[in-house]
Amino acid sequence: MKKYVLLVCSLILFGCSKESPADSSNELPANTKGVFILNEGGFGKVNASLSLYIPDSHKVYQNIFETANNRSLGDVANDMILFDNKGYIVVQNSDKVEVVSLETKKSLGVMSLPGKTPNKILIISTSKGYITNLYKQSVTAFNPSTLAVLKDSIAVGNNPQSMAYVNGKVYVCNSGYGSDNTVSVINPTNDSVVKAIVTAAGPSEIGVDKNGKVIILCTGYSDWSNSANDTPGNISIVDPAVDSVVQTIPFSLSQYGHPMKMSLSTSGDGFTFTNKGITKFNTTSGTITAESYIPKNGYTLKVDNDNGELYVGDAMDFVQNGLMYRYSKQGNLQDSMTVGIIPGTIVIAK
Amino acid sequence: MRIFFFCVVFFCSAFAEDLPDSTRLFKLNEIVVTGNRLLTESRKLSSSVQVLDSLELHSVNGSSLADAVKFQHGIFLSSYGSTGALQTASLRGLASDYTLILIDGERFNTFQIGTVDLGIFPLSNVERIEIVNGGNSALYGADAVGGVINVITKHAVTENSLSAKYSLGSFNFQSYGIEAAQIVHKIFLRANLSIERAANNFPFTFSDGLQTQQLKREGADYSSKIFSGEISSSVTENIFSRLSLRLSEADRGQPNAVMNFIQNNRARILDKNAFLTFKTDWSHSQENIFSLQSSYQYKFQNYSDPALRIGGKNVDAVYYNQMISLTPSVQTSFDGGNKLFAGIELVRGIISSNELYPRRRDQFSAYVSSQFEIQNIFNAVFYPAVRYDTYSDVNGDFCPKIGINIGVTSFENIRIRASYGKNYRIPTFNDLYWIEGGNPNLHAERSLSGDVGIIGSVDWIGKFEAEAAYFSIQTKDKIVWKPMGGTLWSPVNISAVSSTGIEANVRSSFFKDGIIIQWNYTLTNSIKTSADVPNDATQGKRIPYLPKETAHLLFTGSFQNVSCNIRYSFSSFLFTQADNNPQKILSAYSTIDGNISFQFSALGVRSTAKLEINNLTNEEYTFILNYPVPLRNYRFSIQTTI
Repeated sequence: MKKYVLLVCSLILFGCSKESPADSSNELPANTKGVFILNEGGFGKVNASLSLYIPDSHKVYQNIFETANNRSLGDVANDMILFDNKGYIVVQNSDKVEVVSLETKKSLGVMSLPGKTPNKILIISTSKGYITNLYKQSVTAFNPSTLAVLKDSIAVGNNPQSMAYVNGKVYVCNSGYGSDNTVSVINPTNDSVVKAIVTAAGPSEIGVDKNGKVIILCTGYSDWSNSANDTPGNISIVDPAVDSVVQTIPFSLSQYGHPMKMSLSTSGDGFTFTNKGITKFNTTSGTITAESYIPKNGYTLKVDNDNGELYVGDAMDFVQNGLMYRYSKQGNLQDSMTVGIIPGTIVIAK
Repeated sequence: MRIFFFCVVFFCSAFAEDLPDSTRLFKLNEIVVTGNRLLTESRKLSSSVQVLDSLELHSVNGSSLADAVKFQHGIFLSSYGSTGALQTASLRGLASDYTLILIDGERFNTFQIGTVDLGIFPLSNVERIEIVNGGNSALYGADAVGGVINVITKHAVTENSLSAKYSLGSFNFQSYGIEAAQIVHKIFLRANLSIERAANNFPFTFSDGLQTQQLKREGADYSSKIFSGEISSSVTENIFSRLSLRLSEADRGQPNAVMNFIQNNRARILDKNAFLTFKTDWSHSQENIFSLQSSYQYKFQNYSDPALRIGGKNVDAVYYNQMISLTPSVQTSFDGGNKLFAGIELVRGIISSNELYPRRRDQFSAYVSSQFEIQNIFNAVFYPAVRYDTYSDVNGDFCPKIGINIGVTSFENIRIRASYGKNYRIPTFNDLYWIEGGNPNLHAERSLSGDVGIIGSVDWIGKFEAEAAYFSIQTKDKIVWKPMGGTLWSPVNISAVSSTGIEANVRSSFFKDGIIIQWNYTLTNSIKTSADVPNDATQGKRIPYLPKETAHLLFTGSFQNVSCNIRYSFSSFLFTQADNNPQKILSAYSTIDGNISFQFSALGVRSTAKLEINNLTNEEYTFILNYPVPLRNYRFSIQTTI
């Protein structure tokens, strides 16, 4: 009643138009397979979203979480993994993890992590997973089946980001945005940190290669006030048997700048963004195999292990919907499509 | 609700006939200074100048500059919360950093950041406010693109007085103020001290889409202290000098957007400001007045967030700004009321911070503003003005402006006016010298603005005054921070914005100002016209967080020693995204504020008691996504003057 009175007052007194934007709808896909694109959304805009690309039909389904659940995914969605036919989505500014059914895209549960600024997620079993807390210098252990927190805070280094599970140990990249240079090793049986492996500055992305080695992308250090103090990034290869760096693939500053983001294939190849575009390296030979594999920069990338295709997310100007490009194994553009705002994570569901 | 509204109207109108003679004039006849730097009747100016005099400042709810200006046409005030929260004013559809704030004609915006926080600018020492809608770089230089807000502080002392004020209100708001004015051997002295604090733990509703809960705002507490003092004197018969000092400090929580049911707000912001001005006017003759104005401003700001650790350190940014200026000027009157104002301005701005490179900016400016009147069948007043600014670190600009105001001599009540000029916004120190990505190669944003309007008044039953204008502001080379690869963002001169619209304002007064009803309306189309990336989906879209329409209805009723004010505000919906996604908007809202005050005297002590109600209808709305603002809240104040 109150709003009705106010509306009538407004119309009578001001004659203002009550313009409302038109509705738009998004279709909900039945597919459980395809390429999921997690779009971070703008900081503070509460517009993170999930897109699904079907390579066979070249079709993109936008905003599928909101369509399925009739609510926003949240603010700044930073990571997504697939486990047990479910998607686990980390929403950093909303301090939560959303669990969605790959079948219905509906939310199966929410794990709230107040004040944690959760950033990246790793699941090692049906009863154990980890989440890095970006601004808290800690990792939280949780149960992915019950979404119960098992250990609230495992102290690690500065601004922890990506994690990997290798040889029964959890490796945590302490990026410090370039100011840290360690990877914490956690023993999951008692959730204690057993070692801090020293790497180059800025370990931020991590994976395991076909040889069972831990592959770490270090961005190097950027001194914004004096670039002479910058240090180069590299690929640090850690032998999990000894938990120390046994080999590096260096990226000279003058040639490559600071490498960002990484995707590893099961064949031993890896890809990262450098000043050359997408640079390809091989973790077995420990060399850069194509300086400018694809002369294209972007915000995220993911290799499809089945066919060697490469997906590249481009955040454009970070305020409007981004683009995703699909390249063949030979580096030829196959397809491009509009996705959501700031595509930051690409996950391939087979 | 309607019953309350009509009761108040009836109460006020029933007694209004007995109102004593009012000394208030037609608002449009008011003499203003900000329009062209020359004392001119506002109706004869070439574009709209809105005046908030001391009576109107007393009639508003709240105690900040933001509270005072938010009901004026052409202005959209955005707020991040309650008392003391960041509040900024946008004029004519441009962002708040295109609004130049002046104190007694002196620039208050620093070179570091273009925006002034009006939420921590108290009204305790403000005499009047003049708002010039539209570009005015030809008079005031950089950043006067959307408009100018000139805060004129209390000046002349007519009698010795001592007054004290105490207020308390919702969410643990409390304020204390004391003011003393004294005349000693032709030396006028005034001092004012005001202290405010509030917990700002107001309730609001939050929904994450699954649940809806009533929460209380956390981490939004606020406290401020401000002292202002003034000494002024007529040194000789034709020389008048004034020295004033303004010291302020505001310490407040800076809560984040509400993203879930548990708030984790530990960020704080501390502002300290000192503003010292000296002005001397020498009336060489009736025609020539020479002035020398000088000011020194020191601004310190500290933003800290112990909950945010980056690279092993808590976020803890400090900014020290200093500005010193010297402005000699001369005002000359010619035959037939023609006038000329000319001056030069020397400014030095210095920034020191752990986020910016230390830098200094020297500014030299010269300007001429004039007024030529032609009187025959038509009464036409022309306002040519020109200003040249040069800076030590960036290119300045040469900004001309021409204005005209025409009326038929035999029918002075309706006048047509228009203005057109060039304006610019200078890159801030943040844009140029931010350690992580500042771009020292930026140049000024350029703008062309114009308006055409009509103004009129009629005295029939009551007094009716109306003004309407169409405006256009075209801005290019707009500075936007863009991703440069990796984590680096840097500003570039890339964007363009077109802002066009209509402003209308009608004011009517009856029973010798016993009842005043004012209505204003603003229609704004602020459109991003440039394509900043290939296939830019934001080109042609409205600028987010600025409404297309705003309207206000203001009612004032007074009888003898009682007066009441009711203020109705409407804003259309706001887009929150640059691509104007229709599903991501903030809803339109309407609010009603009101107050009633009672004046009484006893034993030579004059007192005023005032009860304020804000958001009477408990409207749930926000200006910024997930930054709640309070529902219905109250404030009571009492002021006594000896």
